[in-house]
Amino acid sequence: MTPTRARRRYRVLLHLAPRRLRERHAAGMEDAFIDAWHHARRSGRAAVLIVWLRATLDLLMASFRDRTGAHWRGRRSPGERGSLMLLMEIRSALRSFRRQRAATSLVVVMLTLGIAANVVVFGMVNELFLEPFPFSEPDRLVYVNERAPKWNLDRTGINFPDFAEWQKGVRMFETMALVDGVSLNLADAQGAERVLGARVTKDLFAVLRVAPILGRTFNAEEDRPNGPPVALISERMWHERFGADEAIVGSTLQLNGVPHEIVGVMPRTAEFPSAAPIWVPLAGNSNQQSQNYRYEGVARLKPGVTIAQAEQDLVRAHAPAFEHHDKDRVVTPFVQPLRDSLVGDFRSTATALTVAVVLLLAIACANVAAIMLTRAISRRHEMGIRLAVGAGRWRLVRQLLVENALLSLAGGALGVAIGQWALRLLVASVGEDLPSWTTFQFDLRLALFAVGLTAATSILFGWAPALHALRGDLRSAMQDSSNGTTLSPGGRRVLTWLVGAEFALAAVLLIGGALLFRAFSQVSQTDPGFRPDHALTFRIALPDASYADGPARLAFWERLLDQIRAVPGIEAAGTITCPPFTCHWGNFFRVEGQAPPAPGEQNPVVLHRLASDGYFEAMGIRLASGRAFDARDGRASSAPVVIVNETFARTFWPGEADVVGRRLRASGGDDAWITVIGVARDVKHYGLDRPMRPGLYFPSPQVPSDLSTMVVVVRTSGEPAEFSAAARAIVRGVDASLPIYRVQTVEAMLAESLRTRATYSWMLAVFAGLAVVLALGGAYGVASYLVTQRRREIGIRLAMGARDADIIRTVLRRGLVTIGAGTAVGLAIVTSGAGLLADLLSGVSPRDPVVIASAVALLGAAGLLAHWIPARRAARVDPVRILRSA
Amino acid sequence: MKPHWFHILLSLSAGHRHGLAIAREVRQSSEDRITLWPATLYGSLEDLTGLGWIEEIADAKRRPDASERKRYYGITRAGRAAFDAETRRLSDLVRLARQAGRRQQA
Repeated sequence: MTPTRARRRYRVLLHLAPRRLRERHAAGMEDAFIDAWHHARRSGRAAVLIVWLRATLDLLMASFRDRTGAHWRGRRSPGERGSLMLLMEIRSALRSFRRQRAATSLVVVMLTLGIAANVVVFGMVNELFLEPFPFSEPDRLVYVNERAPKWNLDRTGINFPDFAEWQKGVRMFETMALVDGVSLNLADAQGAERVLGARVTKDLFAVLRVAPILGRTFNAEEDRPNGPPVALISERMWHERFGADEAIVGSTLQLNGVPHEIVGVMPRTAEFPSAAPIWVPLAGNSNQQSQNYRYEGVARLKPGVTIAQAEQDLVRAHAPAFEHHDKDRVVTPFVQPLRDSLVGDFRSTATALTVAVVLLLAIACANVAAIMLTRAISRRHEMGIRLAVGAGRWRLVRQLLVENALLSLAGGALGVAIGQWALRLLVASVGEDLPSWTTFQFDLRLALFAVGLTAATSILFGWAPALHALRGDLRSAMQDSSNGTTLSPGGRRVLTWLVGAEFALAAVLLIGGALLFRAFSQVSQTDPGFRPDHALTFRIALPDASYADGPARLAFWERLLDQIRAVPGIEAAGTITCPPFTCHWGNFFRVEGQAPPAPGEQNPVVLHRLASDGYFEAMGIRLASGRAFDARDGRASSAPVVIVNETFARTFWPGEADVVGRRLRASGGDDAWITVIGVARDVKHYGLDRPMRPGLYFPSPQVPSDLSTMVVVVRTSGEPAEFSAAARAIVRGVDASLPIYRVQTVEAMLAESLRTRATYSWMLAVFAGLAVVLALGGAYGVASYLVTQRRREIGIRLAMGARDADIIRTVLRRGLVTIGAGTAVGLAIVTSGAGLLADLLSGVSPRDPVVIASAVALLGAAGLLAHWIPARRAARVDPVRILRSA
Repeated sequence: MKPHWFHILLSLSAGHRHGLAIAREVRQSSEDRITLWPATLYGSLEDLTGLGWIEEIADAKRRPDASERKRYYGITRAGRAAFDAETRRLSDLVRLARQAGRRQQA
């Protein structure tokens, strides 16, 4: 902020100050403030914020002193009289809170809970869906990819020659770029390390409009096959690794064993869409022979172009690609808003959570309204007297509204504070699953949301008691008081409705939460297809520079496995190119006897993996028939072999009991036929809640050139994590320049794949629990109040000979009817709105009878509990005392 | 005496000052520990003027319609007396506290 703007803002604040000071000293006060502001600016933003807060407080205190202190008397303008009255109302509200400490703290606690839950969820939704990306004109940024319905793929990844065609043909795009996440071996004097990086085409930074801090970005010369090896590093890495050395541009960095010249340093925002601190040119070859669908595209549209127009333009520009290499027109490009592609997975979660917290807040508000209503009713006597001695009705309503506003302010402030804290906890717990550009700072939008929410609740629960106070006429209020303030039928009806509504909402939340939790437990009990216990995995990537060809790579892996297997306590060890949950490598195959697919026919993509002997034992994957690989498979001397998964067998040989001995080969080629030697049980490769695709395992010696990066899986007899130090030592012994990374147990890998689902299921369970507790508290409060109101009636009935059980039954019946009706409405809402949850339920029916029955039972029990205690108290009323006191 | 009154009188006892100069001097001499916020500062100046401990100094060079920014204040005889009395009171308190501290150590 500039000093001029700060001064202007302070001038607005000055209206808080007493007029006397403002008129004489405005300019001097501004000067004094600006001086303090300048002084604070040297100590950072927090200090500036404190200066603003202190200065505001200073003005408020001055005006408060002015009004209450020595300057009490004298003439005042109507405006000043009004604010003086407000001060008095605030004081009297505080006095009344002190008198009713329990009710006051109950109201504040409920509001706090409701608002905190909303701040958490809105904070998340805001960051994921509303906060603009940190780039200039972010609405013009789009995501580009290709899809192939015939291969059963929504996103194939972009083929570089297609991209080259697009760049020639598009008219609606300003710039476009490709990104490919990779991991790189970074070696320097301190040792070897594995870092994430991105291969990007030269225009990425032009698309994002991010300029380098130092140096320059890639040029066309560098972004072509066999271009000079260059790299860009991020600001983060520049600070952490190079001490922000200005002379960094021009020095070299060893990446995958090749020295790369650092040409520039990019700011933090350039780490997009994933957090990768190093960029190298993608250097795609537009004349490449085979098609390789793997890149993701980001583009900037020309101003005013819509997504639909852009997609049309792109499809038109794609036409030459059909001619060149895709005569069957299988793969077509598509355009999406950038955000949809990045947060797609979170959308249904966010919707469900938002609905949940809004319901929770509604329950809290209903509760607060009930409390306020009973308070207003029990104060009718007081109000009646005040009316009788000449207080205006408007004055009394104002008093009530001030009380409500103060309560909601307190609840709001506490709720925002607790919500912020919980949001930070939540972000820490799902951290890695969230997109890297999310920052979760408290921003203006979130603050406005919290303030709006607080104001809305204040109005929501404030109007009922206020109206009630206004409507009651003087005579009845005074008469009521002589009768012991019984409740009018209207008031009783409102309270009953509130309790009913609370139970309806609680039923919705409880059933929704229970369904999600059931889905979560069902998913986590799904058989992953392997044995997660007692297994450790880690990765190693072999740089091309030192392991140039297949035989060298194969030799490395075999030496490594031999040494690992020689360690006591190791039961099995193997390697795989693509372990569960992490990657996809698709290819197309044809089985013997099957005609080549006709154009337009489905040709599902097949997951392609290379596994060593010992992999199936190490991972604990069982075979449905046939055998696993042994050391002889895949050698030049033996016939080529393959292991298929159950889905592959079902898809390609439908109805055949045993497919061992059948043959297949890659589609399109006329390589030798490959014989199936085994059928492996399906592994939940794409996530426990996702369907499996057809998949193949080839013995790794069969294609040794593809063995540059592999995951080692080790099955131990003891605690698997204890083996990690030994594993590092062994790898160092084989090749000291190789880092090992992503060392984790298979159990941890499995838990990680479920983390997002676990988090939101827990959140909803917590919200549902809170909802039930709130509804129970509300029902209890209202029931106790109603029983107190009916003490005279109960006393008379007891005196006339009613038994305890009769009284209890009457109280319980009324309460349970309300709760039953509320729960029934809630059930109806859930069953009709279950579509919202369908995405998250993964197979659990929204009408799951177990869930519904237990939710109804729980709510019934809560209702019974809420009414039982007041009912017992009612039955213990001493009729003699009651009747005498009247 | 209110602490910020004391600080203002202390600053004015060295000579005539305007409001901002008082605030700056107090902040510097207290090593940033004390900030006189604007309403407190000018409120206190008004209060002290009302008590007759300080007075506004007419500035001959200032035209009557000029900005009121530079209102200079000076300490009066009564103000100096009050300031001296307060200083004595404070130093008496400090002496008492020190004596008590020595007795405890002994």
